[in-house]
Amino acid sequence: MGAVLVNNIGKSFGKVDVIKDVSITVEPGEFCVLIGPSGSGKSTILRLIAGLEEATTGAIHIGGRDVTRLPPKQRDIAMVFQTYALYPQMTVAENMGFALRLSGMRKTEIAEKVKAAAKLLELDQLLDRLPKELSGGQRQRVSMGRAIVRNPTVFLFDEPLSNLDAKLRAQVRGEIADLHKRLKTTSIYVTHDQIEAMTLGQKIVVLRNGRVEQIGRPMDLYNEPANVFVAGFIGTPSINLLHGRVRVNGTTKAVELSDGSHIPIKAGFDVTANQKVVLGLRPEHLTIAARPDAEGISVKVTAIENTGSDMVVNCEKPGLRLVAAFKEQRSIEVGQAVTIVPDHGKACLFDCTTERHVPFTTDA
Amino acid sequence: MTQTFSQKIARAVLYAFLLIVFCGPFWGILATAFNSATVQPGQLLAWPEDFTFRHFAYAWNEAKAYIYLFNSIVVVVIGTVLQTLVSALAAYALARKRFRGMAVVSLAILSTIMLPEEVISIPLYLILQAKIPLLGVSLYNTYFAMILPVVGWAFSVFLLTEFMKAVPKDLEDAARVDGASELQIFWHVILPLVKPALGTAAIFGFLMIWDQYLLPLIAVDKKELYTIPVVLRSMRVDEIMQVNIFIAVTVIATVPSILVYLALQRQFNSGLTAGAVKG
Repeated sequence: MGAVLVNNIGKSFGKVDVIKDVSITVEPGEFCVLIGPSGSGKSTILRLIAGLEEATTGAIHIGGRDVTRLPPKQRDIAMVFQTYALYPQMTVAENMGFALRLSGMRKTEIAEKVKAAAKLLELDQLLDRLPKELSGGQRQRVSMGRAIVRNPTVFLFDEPLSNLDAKLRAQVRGEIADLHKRLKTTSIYVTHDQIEAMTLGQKIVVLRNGRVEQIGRPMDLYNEPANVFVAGFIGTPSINLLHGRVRVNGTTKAVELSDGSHIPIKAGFDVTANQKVVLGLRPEHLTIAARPDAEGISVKVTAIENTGSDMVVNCEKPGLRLVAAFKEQRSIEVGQAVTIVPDHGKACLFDCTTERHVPFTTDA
Repeated sequence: MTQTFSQKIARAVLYAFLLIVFCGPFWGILATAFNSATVQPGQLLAWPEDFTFRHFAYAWNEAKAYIYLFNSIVVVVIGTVLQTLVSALAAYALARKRFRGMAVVSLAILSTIMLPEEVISIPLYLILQAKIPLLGVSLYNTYFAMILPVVGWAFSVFLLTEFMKAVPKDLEDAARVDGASELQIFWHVILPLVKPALGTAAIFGFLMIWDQYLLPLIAVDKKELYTIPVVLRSMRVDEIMQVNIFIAVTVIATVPSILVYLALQRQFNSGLTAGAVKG
């Protein structure tokens, strides 16, 4: 268990800068998730930490040691790959013990360690099998076992669940969380799936185009996204982002949307009258008014997605689209006119030009 | 689909024809080698009139075929092992590494295929004759003179390069994270995964070295170092050598190739077809 410090790191491939001045601190025992869309540089950062790529600028410290120029084997890390990367010609036991064998450990000691790790991951019945004789979930567990058996300072996970089906993904996700609770090893996990990020991460790093957009705890990112990008990336279904202008009436503030409807916002937002803003309304913070003449946004229902436990309602009016999500079932039909009422206390506000979150001074 | 009688007949005739075309000469060699009566040059028998091992005994004991067979085996075994190893190492660099001048290296290797061996025979002869600095001896008239020139073979390098390119990069990365050195990655991860291709390269290499005629001819002039193809040539022009004995030596020369092919047949076939379809 050790801290990982990534200081102002940069990486260029030829003339293309793929990682630009990234700094991340992962505390000892912390589970940090790197998230971002394809091409955001999250896997490259993980490979830089692993030593599989060499940083162009900056420094990386693992467990207090500067490892920037050290090869992977001297960094005391273990990595779980998206493709599992199990050696096809080796059995499960040989795969798990390969690193120990290379380190010159005695065969009996290797066997003991492999057995202990296999027991932890319920792989003890599969030790003599070849990877091709295992299911996807079992292969992923072997891949984790190969990492665990070395007892490294840091675990690195590169989208380990992306090749699994939805049900198995949820199961293995739980196993990873459980494993981290038991081993308390510092972990850095790359994913593009925000549900994985929210459920596993103690700290989330949101990346875009090789830059850090925001670092924080999952709920901080959800409640107080630093900018429009983070707001749109975190949360399922995605946040509604509506363009409008600030209207100030005495001590009350509101955003006037393109359709003319007024959405009250907290008075503490540091905005001026007529300022162009983007109003962020999470689908789960919207309700449907009981009375059709209630104050809100009048829209028509265009589609309903019912998953049994959740109900996602897509609404529209000229120049405006909204998605609302409900935990309880509603008797709504496609084509029905409804009035959507936002929980204005939970609305996010972004400056239209900078796309950054509008500072919040006091809840006046 | 059921076949009509005439289709079956046509098929049988075709197979018989192919069998005669491909196996006929080989059968003729066997029949002649085991025939006690002497045949004329250019003549092969369809059936041994009087079966005998006499020509083989003569070829082995009097013509000392065992010496040439031994020479051929030494050259082919050491040559094939070294050639496969060197080709695998070169292929690993070409398939898995990026280095300055890589295209030039590939082109240089490729160009060796384009040069007929007759073109390089005189320069090669001069090199083999030249004294090695510090040691003061030349390779001429040694086994190494017949082995070293065939150790680097472009065909084998490119065959293995294509197979090694197909090994997923993640396996190499995983081995690197596991603490493997470059040589350990090559030995423990890459080589086991290209085993069928290694088998194919080894068989092709074996046949190529076994069939070498020009190289041993310019590399050695001591008869006790002659390989089978060279000695067959000298026997063919020897007017007092019986044709049956010459043919018996030919049969002896063929046996190792057939044995190696039969032993590695499975690997040979899987190596030739691997990667042809999506797995």
